[in-house]
Parts: sequence; C-alpha cells; structure tokens
Amino acid sequence: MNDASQQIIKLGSRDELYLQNAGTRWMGIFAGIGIVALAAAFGVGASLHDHLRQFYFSYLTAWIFCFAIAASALFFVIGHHLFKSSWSSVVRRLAEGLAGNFVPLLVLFLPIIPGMRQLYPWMSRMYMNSSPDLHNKIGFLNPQFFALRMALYAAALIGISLYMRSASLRQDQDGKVKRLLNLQWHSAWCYLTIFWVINLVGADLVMTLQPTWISYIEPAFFFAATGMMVYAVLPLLAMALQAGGRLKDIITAEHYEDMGRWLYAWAMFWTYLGFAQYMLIWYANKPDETMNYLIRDMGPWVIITIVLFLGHFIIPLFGMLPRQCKRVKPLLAFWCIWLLFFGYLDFFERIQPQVWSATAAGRKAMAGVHKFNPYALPHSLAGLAWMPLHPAALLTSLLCLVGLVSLLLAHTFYLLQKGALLPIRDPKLPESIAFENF
Amino acid sequence: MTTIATSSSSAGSEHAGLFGVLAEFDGPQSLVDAAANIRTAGYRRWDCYTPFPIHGLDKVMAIPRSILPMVVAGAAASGAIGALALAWFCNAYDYPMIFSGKPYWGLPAHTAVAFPALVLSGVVTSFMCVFVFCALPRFHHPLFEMPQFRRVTDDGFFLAIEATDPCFSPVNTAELLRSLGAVSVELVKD
Amino acid sequence: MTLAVNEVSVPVDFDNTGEDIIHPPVLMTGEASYKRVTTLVSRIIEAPKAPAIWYPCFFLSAGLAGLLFALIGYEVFTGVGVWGNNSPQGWGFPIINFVFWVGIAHAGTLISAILLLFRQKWRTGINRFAEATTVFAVVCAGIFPGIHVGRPWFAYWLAPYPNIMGDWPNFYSPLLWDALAVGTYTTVSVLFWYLGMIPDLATLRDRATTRFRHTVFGILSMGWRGSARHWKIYDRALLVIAGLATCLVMGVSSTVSTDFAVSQIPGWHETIFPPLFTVGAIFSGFATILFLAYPVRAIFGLKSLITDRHLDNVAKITLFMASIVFYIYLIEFFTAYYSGSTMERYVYLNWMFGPYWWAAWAMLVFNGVIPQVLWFKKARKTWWIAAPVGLFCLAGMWCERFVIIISSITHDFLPSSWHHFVPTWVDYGMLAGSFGLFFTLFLLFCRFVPVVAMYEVKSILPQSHVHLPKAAGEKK
Repeated sequence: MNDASQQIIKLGSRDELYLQNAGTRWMGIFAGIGIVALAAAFGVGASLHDHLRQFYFSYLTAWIFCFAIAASALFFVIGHHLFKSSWSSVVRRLAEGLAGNFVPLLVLFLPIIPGMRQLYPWMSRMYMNSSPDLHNKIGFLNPQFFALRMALYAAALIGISLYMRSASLRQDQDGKVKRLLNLQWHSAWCYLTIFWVINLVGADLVMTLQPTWISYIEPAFFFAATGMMVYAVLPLLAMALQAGGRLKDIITAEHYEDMGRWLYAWAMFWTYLGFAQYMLIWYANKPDETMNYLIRDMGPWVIITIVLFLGHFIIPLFGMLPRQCKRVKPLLAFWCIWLLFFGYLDFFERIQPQVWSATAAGRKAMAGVHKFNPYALPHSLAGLAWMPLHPAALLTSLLCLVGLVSLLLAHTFYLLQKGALLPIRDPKLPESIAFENF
Repeated sequence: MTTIATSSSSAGSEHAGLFGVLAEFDGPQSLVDAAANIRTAGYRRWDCYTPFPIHGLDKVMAIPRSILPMVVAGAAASGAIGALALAWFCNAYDYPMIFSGKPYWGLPAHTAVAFPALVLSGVVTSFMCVFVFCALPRFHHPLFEMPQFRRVTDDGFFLAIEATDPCFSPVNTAELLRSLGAVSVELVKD
Repeated sequence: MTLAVNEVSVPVDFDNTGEDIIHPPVLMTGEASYKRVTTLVSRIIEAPKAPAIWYPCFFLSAGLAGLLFALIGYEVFTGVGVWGNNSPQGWGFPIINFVFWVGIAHAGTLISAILLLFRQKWRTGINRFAEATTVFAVVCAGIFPGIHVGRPWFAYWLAPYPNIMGDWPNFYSPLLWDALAVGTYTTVSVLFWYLGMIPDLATLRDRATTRFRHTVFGILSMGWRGSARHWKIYDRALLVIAGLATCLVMGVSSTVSTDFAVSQIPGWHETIFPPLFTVGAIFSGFATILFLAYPVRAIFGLKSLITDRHLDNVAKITLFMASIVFYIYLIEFFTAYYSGSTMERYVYLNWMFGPYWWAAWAMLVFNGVIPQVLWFKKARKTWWIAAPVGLFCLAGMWCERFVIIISSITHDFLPSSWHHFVPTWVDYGMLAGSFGLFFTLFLLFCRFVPVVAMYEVKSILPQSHVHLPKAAGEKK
C-alpha cells in the first residue's frame, strides 16, 4: 500500500480532485433545465392533437439515447477491468458516474408505459392475429413477457452498475487491492451479461417497433450504435471538468487520443454491421426485409439516410484520421459532438419512421408485408412519413432530448460529487497518468 | 578497424577512408543517455544501432515522424477508386449487363471489390516504403566489417557518428563517446 | 513510478498466471537476458538435427500431403464426380474445407495486428508462429476453390483481362469477391510475416558459422543493421499494416460469408453472417494456437518464452470468442423463431433434428459448451485439458461450416429438390490431406525459421524500459 498512498500527494489538491459545491450547483441547473424541457415537450406534443403519438416516439428516441450513454459507460467500466487496462484508470470514475444512471432511467421509463399501445403495434392482439407470421410470435410479443424481460434487464443493469461503482468507491476509502482483483474477477460474467442485455434491449425496444420485420444482425447493430456513445461523452465531460479546474494535469492528450481512437473504432464498427445488414438485404431483395429500408426511402427519409451514412462514416473516416484530431481538445470536442449528433440521428432513423405505421392506416398497410410497396401507397398515406419531420414534431424531439439528457447529467453530477473524481487509491493510477501512446 | 591510439594523428581533415566512429554501450539506458548528449553536442549525421526498437529513443534522437502513413493513405485510396472504376468499366460501360436485377454499377456490391483493393495497395505500399525509406537492401556496409557489430542483432547497443558530420573529429568525437560511458570506441574504415 | 526491475531471474517453472495489479507480469521465465532469448530461439535452427519426434511427425504429415496432391491429380483427370457433390449440393466438402481453413488463417493476423493495436505485450511470445499458421492455412484454403471450379486450368477467367470474346467477369458475384479477398489476404499475410521476420533473419545472419548460412540469411535479411532511424520507419509500417490487416480480417471473412448470405435460401440468408464468419474465424484461429502451442514449446524447449501466462491468455480469448460464437447461435435460433416464418423456423428444426443432426449438435456442444470449462483456471493451466479443448473447438467449427453449407441447401423451399448429401472417400481423403499439408509446412517452419519473434520479446523485457533523460523534467 506504500506505493498507492505516496501517490495521493502527487495527485493535486483537494480542489482538483473533488467537485465539492460545483457539483451541487450543476446538479441543480441541469435538473431545472430537464424538468422545464420535458414539460415543454409534453406541451408541444399535446398541441399536435395526435393522442401524444409523436410525443411518445420523441420521448422513446431520447430515452434510448440516454440509455445508450449509460449502458456504454457501464460496458466501458467492465471492459476496463476485464482487459486490465491501465490507460483508462484516470477516466474510470467519470464513466462509473455515467453508468450509475440506471435507477433514474428506470423511473424515466415509466412515462413510456401509457404510450405502449401507440408505440408498439404488437400490444394489440387483433393486429397480431392479422397475419400468420405475426400470429406465430405471440408467445414472445405479449405485454406480460415483455414486462418480465424488462424487469430482468433492469435488475441486471442496476445490480451490476451499483456493484462496479460501490466497490470502486470503497477502494478509495480503504485502499484494498483485493477490491480491484474482485472487480477483475467478476468483470468476465458481468461483461457477457451486459453485452446480452444491451443486445436484447435493442431487440425489445427498437426492433419490435416493426413486428413484421426481422434482421438477424439488428440486436448487434443496436449494440454497435450504443457502444460508441461513452467515447463521445467521456472526453466532453473530462474537458468540462478540466475547464473548471479539476483533473488538470491528470487527463492528458495521451488519454484523449486513446478515447478518440476508440470513438473512431466504434464509428467504423457501426458502419461494418450497418453495411453488412444493408448490403445483404439490398442484394437478396426479400419483401419482408426490404420493407425496413423502403420506409426509410420514402419522402424526406432518404435524405436523412444518406446524411447519416456520410456523417457517421465517410466524413469521420477521413476527418478523424489525423493524429491531432484526437489530441487537440477543441478538435476532439468537435468530433465528439459531431458523432453524438449522428448517434442521435441513428436512433432517430431507427425509431421515428415508425410514427406513420402507428396510425391505423399505416398498421393496415404494414400487416400485409408481402404486398407492401411504399411507392404504390395512396398519397395521403405516404404523406404520413413526413410527420416526425414537421417543425412542431422536431421541436418535441429536441425538447425531449434536452430534457432527458439534462436529467441524466444532473444525476451524474450528483454521483460524481459524492466521491473523488478519479480512483485515488487505484494502484494502476500512476501508470495510467504517466501513460504515453506509441 | 583501427584503434584510436594508432590512428588518431593519421586521419586528415577530410577524414578520407573513414566511415566514422563506433561506440558500444552496455545497455539500452546508457545508450539513450549517451544519445541525448550527442544530440546536445550538435551532431547531425549519426545513428544508434540496437537489437530491438527502444521506446523513446526516437524522441531522444529527434527523428522526425515518417511520412509513410500519408503515402500509404494515398495508395490505399487510389487502389479503392481504381477497383470501383474497373468494375464500372467492365460491367457498366464496356459490356453492360444486368445481374440479378441490380443496377449496372452498384456501390453496395462493388464495395466488396473496392475494399480488398484498398488493403492490398495500402499494404504493398507500406512494405515497399520500408525498403525505399530505409535505403535497403544494402548488403555491404562499413559497420558490417566490425566484428563486435555482429552482436547488434543479439545484445549489442551501438552508437555510430559518421565522418561526414561537420562536428566530427576522430580524436574529440571518440573522446566524447568514451566520456559518455562507452564500453569500447573504435574507428570504422569506409 | 517505475516497478521495472533490472535483473529478472525467476525459475523456469515459475507460475506467472497469477494476478498482480501492482507489478507488471513476468513474460519470460528463467534468466531474462537478451543473449538467452537469442540462444533459445536460434539454437532450434542451428542444431544439426531436429528433435527426434520431429521426424515421425514430418513424415506422417508429408505422407498425408502427398495423398492430397495424389487425390487432386485423380480429381483433375477424372472430374468433379469423384466427390459427393451433386444437385442441389454443389459445394460439398471443398467449400467446407475452404471456409474452415480461411477461418484458421485469421489467428496470426489477429494476434499480430489486433493485439499490437491493443498494446498487448504478451503477444510477442506467440505472434510469429501464429502468423505462420495464417500463411499455411491460407495455402490450404486456396487449394480448395481452385480445384472446385472443376477445370482449374481456366481459373484465370476470374481475372478481368481483355479477351477475344469481349466480355468481363461479373463484379456482382461473391465468388469473384472471394478470389479477390483471399488473394489479398495471402499477399498481405506473407508480406506481414516476412517483414516482421527481417530483424530475426539478421540475427541468424550474424550468428552464422558457415558461408552458406551467412549468404542465405544475409540475402533474406536485406542488410538489416538495426539502425534507430530504420526502426522508426519499420515500426510505423508495421503499425499501418496492422491497422489495414485488422480491417482485412473482417473483410475477408465477411466476403466469404456473402457466398451464402446474398442468396435467398433460409439458413444462408442471414444478415448476421458477416460477423458470424469473422468471429468464428478468430475463434478457430485461437483454438489452433491453443492446440499447437503446447507441443511446440515442449518439443523445442521454449517454455520460458511461451509461458503459462501466454497460454492462459490464449485460452481466455478462446473462451471469449466461444461466448460470442454461442451468442450468435442463440440469436440465430431466437431470430428464426421471432421471424414467425415457417421457412426460417424449419431450417433450424432441420439442423437440430434432420438428417445431419449430429453436425448441428456437435457444433453447439463443441463450440458453445465444451470451451466453457476454460472459465476455470485449473483447466486453462492443465495442458491435457486446454489443448484438447482447442481440438474440440476446431472440430466444432468444421461442423458449423458443414451445417451451414450442407444442411441448408439440401432442404430448401421445394421438397421435390431435396437430396441427401453423401461424401465419398475422396472427400475424406482430401480433408485429411489438407491437414497433412498444413502440418508439413508448419513443421518445416519450426525447424528452419525463428519460431518466436526474438526482437519483440527483447523489447518487452524489463531492462528494455528506459527513462528518457529529457522527458524526466517534463513528466511529474
């Protein structure tokens, strides 16, 4: 323990290692913004007179975005222990803070429940009986089993994130290396569990929005979209803290470069899985599969699809390549915000085109998959595709996003101010601070 | 292959017939320390020779970053574009043909052609660049004539200062190296 | 803070698999000096005779390789009817073997490239012979599509060259993509392997006692003299190639998977096939290393360089990949159920309970269940458990390819076209022969090429870690 205790002196003053009052202040500010924004979103959503349909879709999109940030942070923390990384020790506590958000996320899921019938066609037994293929999967797509699965996911996410954070905080107190060894030991099964849970959340909350569509890769593709988020949020959080005088000499360009590299790698991994899905469906051209892309080819959506492809893949592919883009703070901040935006756009593109199919007419058209042809739809029906892109609908989505992200940040700051901003007695910390890239 | 004692006075100002001076050090740390001093002393044409890449030695010697990644990026991009163009020429221009109801030239499918071409041209270029930038293969080198230099691929750590360096002097340079803790210092014939 | 010690000398049988957060792991047992690394590896090549067991192994393998070439001759002169291939199963064993060997070929690139990118120092002990398995597995893989085309002397038709008929190859065809991808992979893996070997070949040149050896290794090592300026370029190039090769690993397996996945056959058309083939390839590659590393280090006395910790890590990655493979199997079954489609569901029922049920169960048990024993440290540390597990994984992966290729297409949409596939003795002979070819090349490699990357092992020894004189002031 001699090594570890000696290092505490070098780490800097208490002001640099703890949020102290600033934490409470930011918590209050974000909580305020969050509540106001959500109330406004509800107001705008209600003014659309669509039985809150758009509001629910906007809220679900924003919720999935926040879930992705928390889940990827949890995956990052477990991965840090599993692979015995050393560079990431300096940002581990921040990631633990982001990963500690599952209880508020569970609470924030409650408003979705009254909207389930709007969001998920399979909630209606009549709809499920409308085609043999749909009828065949009633055993999986029914409200009771769905609730049970959600309870299991919540238990796993909350339990594992609590364990990861509390063991780490306790290690701050007593400095026992054994706690880290335990974390490493448990990380293996936790990693697999969380991997599965993220995949299944994607299948349950996103893929079942269109119950007639299947793609074997969709859960993994959702996982790829999710996993990227932490690498976009962590650098921004670290930069904000450093601007506020915290962790100044601790998180260096070397750490930013590594986070930037991972961000780049995940953006490319997303492309790999997304391209695999698109290319195979495009090539085989089966009606039940192409439906997914045909809806995203209707009206304005084709533009969003192309913009997403360019913004999530082509532009970062070349733009992030120079080393300085990952080392110079303003440049990295730009790319983090850029990819956060396109990460959100990706979830938007997965969820919101279904708004039209949540209408009665849309459902009828979607049930007959083998006859489904968006180009032959009556104009009134195809026009529904525009719905989520009307200014008021976009405003609802934006307000929901601001609201939920603010609440997430408020709770993150609440967690961060409870302890030091880095695992001060982690024996790997000196190695992590001195870390240099090759 | 003469020792300093016998040759110090005979070498002229041109240092004709002299490649430089070769010093051996007993380990990575002493080599790195010596290299830092040699750099401070203002030498330009000198090099370290080690059995493995020493992490950080490049910084001490102030070796500039290689332009290799840029060259490779260019080659890789042209490989990919070339493959896409080839697919377009073959299947869409010179002999247009419809395959499985697809457009003549379809990016989703032709990515599968462009990608290997990208990697192939990138890797072959990196491989070639190593030899071009290092000026290899070079089977004869004055250092190979030194018997102790055979250990450079085993456990020998060497530092050689070339006679073409403006600061070079057979006596002073050797003396400097000796003062930096070299195990042996010898002049190398060209 | 540094914890590196200058002189490390731990017993050869030191158990370095334990977890110690504070101290860096011991990656070489025994006296950890540069000289000893050089001697341990070079003496294998410099010895006048190979270890006694090498000879029977070599002659057995070479015999099987001879069988392979004899059967190829038989097939070429007689026609593809010598195989069990028939309508609708036109692919049969040759393509199973092709996919199988391509999969194994991914370990070397992975260990060298991905572990290099992830800064995993322990890769230095095993990367060289992992890369060798890559090159030899690609050789085995390349043979099968070559002879499967039926008239191999027309294989050049795949190339886009101006010809008298004025036509061009079909760039929409996954078979053309295959040829491109595997050709690229062969080139890249050979170049990567050779480039990584140059400093070690220079070591052999400098140690050479005869003029012949000196000339041969002198030419092969390209006049390498260990210059720091060269090392800088060399390191950069290896890193760039590693990055490209990592992408290529995914690209090649994904391309192979499109042979099936672009079709509309249930059981072939699955959007998860590209990652499944990639993960499966990595998995079988690591299983090969797990299986081969024990005999290699025992026969050639490399236990202090390929330590228990290396094999422990290989076993852990094998387990990790097995878990992802198993995840994909379960997602396949789930999605087939979830599709609600009779066709999709039938395929999986037919896998499990149809005529080829044994292959599907073997695939699930060998790849999904048996590797789970590697969760236990005792199993990872015991050679007679870990090495057979590697072998089971290989058998399981071969069965996976059998299931995918044979089961799906012999029972497609139209029952009247269903046909049972029966392999012939030539099929089995060629499968055995391909193993013979692989091991022949591998044994030659062990005897005549440095099995362990000496310069890389030296670079991770504790005494190779230096303090930078200038940076000392900047860093706190």
